[in-house]
Amino acid sequence: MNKILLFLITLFIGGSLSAQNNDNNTNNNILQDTVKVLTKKDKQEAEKKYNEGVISFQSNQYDEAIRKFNEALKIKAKFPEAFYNRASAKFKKGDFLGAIQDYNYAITLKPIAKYYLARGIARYQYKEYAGALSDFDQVIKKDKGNYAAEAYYYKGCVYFEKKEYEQALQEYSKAITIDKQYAFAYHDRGSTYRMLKEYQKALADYRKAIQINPKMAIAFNNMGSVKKLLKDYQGAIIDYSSAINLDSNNAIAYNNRATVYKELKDYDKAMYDFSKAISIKPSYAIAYSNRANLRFQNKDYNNALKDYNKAIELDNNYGFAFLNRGICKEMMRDSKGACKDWAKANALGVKIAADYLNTQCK
Amino acid sequence: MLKSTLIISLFFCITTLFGQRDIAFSKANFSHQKKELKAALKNIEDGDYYFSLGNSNVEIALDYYLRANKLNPNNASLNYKLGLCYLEAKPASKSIYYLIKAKRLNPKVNEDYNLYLAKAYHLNLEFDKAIHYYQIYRDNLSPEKANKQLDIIDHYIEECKNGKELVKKPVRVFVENLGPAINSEYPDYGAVVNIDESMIFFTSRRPTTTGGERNPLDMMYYEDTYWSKKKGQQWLTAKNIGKPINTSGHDAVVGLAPDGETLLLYRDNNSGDIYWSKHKGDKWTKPLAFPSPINSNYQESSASYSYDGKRLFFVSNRPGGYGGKDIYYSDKDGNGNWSKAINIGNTINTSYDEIAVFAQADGKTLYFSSEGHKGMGSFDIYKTTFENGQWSTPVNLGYPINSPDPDVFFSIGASGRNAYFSSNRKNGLGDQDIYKITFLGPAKEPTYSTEDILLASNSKGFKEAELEKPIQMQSSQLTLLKGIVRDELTQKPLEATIDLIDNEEGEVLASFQSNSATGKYLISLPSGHNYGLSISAEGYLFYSANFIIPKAESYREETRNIQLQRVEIGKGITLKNIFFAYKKANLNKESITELNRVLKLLKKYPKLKIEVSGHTDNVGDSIYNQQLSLRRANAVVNYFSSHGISPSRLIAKGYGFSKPIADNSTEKGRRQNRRSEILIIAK
Repeated sequence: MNKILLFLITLFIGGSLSAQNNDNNTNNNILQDTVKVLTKKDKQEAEKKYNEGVISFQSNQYDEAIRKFNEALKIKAKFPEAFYNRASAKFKKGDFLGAIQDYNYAITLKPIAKYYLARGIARYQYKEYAGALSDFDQVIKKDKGNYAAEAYYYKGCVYFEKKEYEQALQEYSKAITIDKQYAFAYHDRGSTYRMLKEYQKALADYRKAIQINPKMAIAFNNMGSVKKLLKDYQGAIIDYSSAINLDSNNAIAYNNRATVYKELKDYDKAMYDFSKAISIKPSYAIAYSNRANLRFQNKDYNNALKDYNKAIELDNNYGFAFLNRGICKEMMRDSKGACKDWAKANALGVKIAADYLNTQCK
Repeated sequence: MLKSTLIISLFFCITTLFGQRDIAFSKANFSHQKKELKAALKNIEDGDYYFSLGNSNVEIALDYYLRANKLNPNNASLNYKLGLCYLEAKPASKSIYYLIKAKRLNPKVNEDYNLYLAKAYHLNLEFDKAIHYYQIYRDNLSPEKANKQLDIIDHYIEECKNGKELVKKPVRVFVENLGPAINSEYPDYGAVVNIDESMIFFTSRRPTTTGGERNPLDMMYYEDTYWSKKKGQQWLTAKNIGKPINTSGHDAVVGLAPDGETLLLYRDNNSGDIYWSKHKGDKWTKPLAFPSPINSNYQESSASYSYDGKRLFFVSNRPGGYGGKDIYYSDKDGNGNWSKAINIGNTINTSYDEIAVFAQADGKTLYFSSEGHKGMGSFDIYKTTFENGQWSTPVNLGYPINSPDPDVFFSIGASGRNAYFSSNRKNGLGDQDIYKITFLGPAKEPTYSTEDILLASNSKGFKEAELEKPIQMQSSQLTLLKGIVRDELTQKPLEATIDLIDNEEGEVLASFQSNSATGKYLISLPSGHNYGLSISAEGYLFYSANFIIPKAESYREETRNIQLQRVEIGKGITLKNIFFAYKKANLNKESITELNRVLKLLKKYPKLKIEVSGHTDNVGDSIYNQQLSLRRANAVVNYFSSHGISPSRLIAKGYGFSKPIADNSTEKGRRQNRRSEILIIAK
């Protein structure tokens, strides 16, 4: 009771209500009535906090959103939407485990397809593939529409990550059967064909994804990469360029296009693209290492070394950067430094580094 | 005046471009520079002398010729000589310059002009031009010269062809001059290193040679053995190894046993023999000549032990070989006696010289220098391996180890990573120098990395979260319940107590009165709850209502006018807020508030007797429904009796679906029919 706020409001009610009593209150056209309006403050507070949380979430302020959802849940424990949204905020922050726990609460309170789907995706991201698959199956059991299509799609993703490409193909195809306009499913099926070295099928699926969504830069990029594998360098450049036209900050496409220019021995354009990738994404270790390679091959060893150093500073576990820097140091007559880099590359799993160590460093 | 100046200037230009004349070192030409002319002629004479001695003396000759050239740079013969000097002294590009100039000054400067220009181009790695001039030279040889030189010119042309191929595919090595700690402006060559490459022994013809004498044959210092050791990565300044190894004659180091404890030396005794010296403590023993059949009356000039020290490879120009110097070997038996010297065979030996043999510690690889085989000029270094009982075809070590200049005295460290050789290539410290080779192995291509995000869902991270929506606040989401409470019979407005109950929580949310004059009430009910409403007034039976207002319900108003009945026999009420579990007679906890209200009524009117009746809808069997309704009526009765009401005041009745109050064909109607009622049967 103490949480209940009772408002006593005096309202002036006119119209037909008062007219019924006109006989007794001839002097008053308007009768004063005592009216009670009741609200329950506790419930309002939880929802209020929850709504604030939603607004924070929508402004990408995930920490703030989580704080608000926490407050809502403190007031009202059985609040599945708050758990769900808090989970989504945690997911956004990359806290997949935290997200999974919150999705668990939400599902306990409200076992609906949407929540299973969300938890499945979180488990997928957390690489808890068995759990993810079981969640997606729950979605498929509860829903036959878009949630099911998504569940099949994500099942495809799980199998892709597990390198079970044949199974992935089946799941993506099921998603496409439900949703014929599912560009992501076409795209990812294309990538699956690529892994199976069925390049023409891969290209066909990427094209279909682009047909559905002509602004899908990633599909252009990947189509370019398949063409590069097929040594269709001009085609690859056209596709990477399309990806860049759609997204001028597409560092990946710049880096990839540069490697094709390098194959075509168009070193100036390759250099430009690597540098552009770096300017877009200054933390792009791969582009630094690649630019360093180009500089190395131009015998510009000092600048190559600077780029290798930067790549390694950005990613200390980048085996190929160590391998490449070792090659550069060898040519700079720093055989000790080269051997040290190759040892590191070897430790990071770059197989050829072991050969270099055997032949050059004993 | 102006006109004549112009003409004179023009004349000089034309002369410079086309009219350079061959100016003789003559009094007529240098009538005002007699003294200078005399000095220049002396310089040329001295130059000629040193040039005739060959080898490093050519550099001295060059110096004299250059002095003379200062006075008269347009003498064809002197330019020609300068061109020849630069063939030896390097760079070859200068040789090309002076030779061409000589030819321009005098097209008939020398009949061998084309041969030396070809050599200059050859040394300068301009192989096509070299071939061109070799061919011109060859094709214009006199019959006598042709007889002698045709083969060698064809050999040079062959070398140029080889050179073109070798330069096209350079081997991956670093070749670096060992620097001034080891090399000097004098000939330095024949380096051998110990097993860990911490010590180096080599031959030098520098002025610190023992005795300080020059060999009258070539006016160069006698060979001595020098050595150095490494401090960190640097060689310390080389020192003369001293006695007893070095003497006033030629004392060249030619090999080092794999254990690093025996030096092989060359001395020019007996036409040139191989010697050995042991390292005892920090001293070297007096060198002893190898016996016959290793040494002979001919020249034995270099040697190398096999990895186990049981075989000695050596070079000799003794008769019976394939031509020039050949490689031989001799095996040592258990008693230390050396076997007959065996020519290693014509896979390795050619009609040209093979020299500077070196056996690698792997027991199967032999390096040597040769002017035969597929070389690119003069001596090149080759490698052959002994496999399946025979030596493989020697392989040229390739450019830039080999060059058109003599590349000799190859030795390789135990690691196989580094090797040493001697060459008088350009950019050295002077004459022959020792170079270090670092083998880089097969080409190491840096790896380019590309990146693709193969799964679209990963491209944007998580798909845009399908958030649960904001919940609309209650202020805009409520039901306004309003109406008038009246007496059932008189229709007079009543001041009634209105209790609002949260059935889920079992709480009375609020209790208030309708207006005493108008009987009006107005209540706001937030959505999403199951509400019970009880309206009671003194002397009247209470009225019970139940509202389930769904969460999503938007604002609405509901009018419900209430007719209260007096507490009298025959009157009854439907208990809207009594709930049972499905198909069961167990009272839900949500029913307690309503039951207590009836309990209160029974306590207020102690004489009141009531019938509690249960009713069902028509779904299912009638007997089952009748029994269920009776059991439910009994449950209510039992609640009252367990709360102090005498059972005599209570009658339970189960009517099944015999008394419907609404249409059983709709869910709404069936819900109304499933009910509990009380009826006053005595007061």
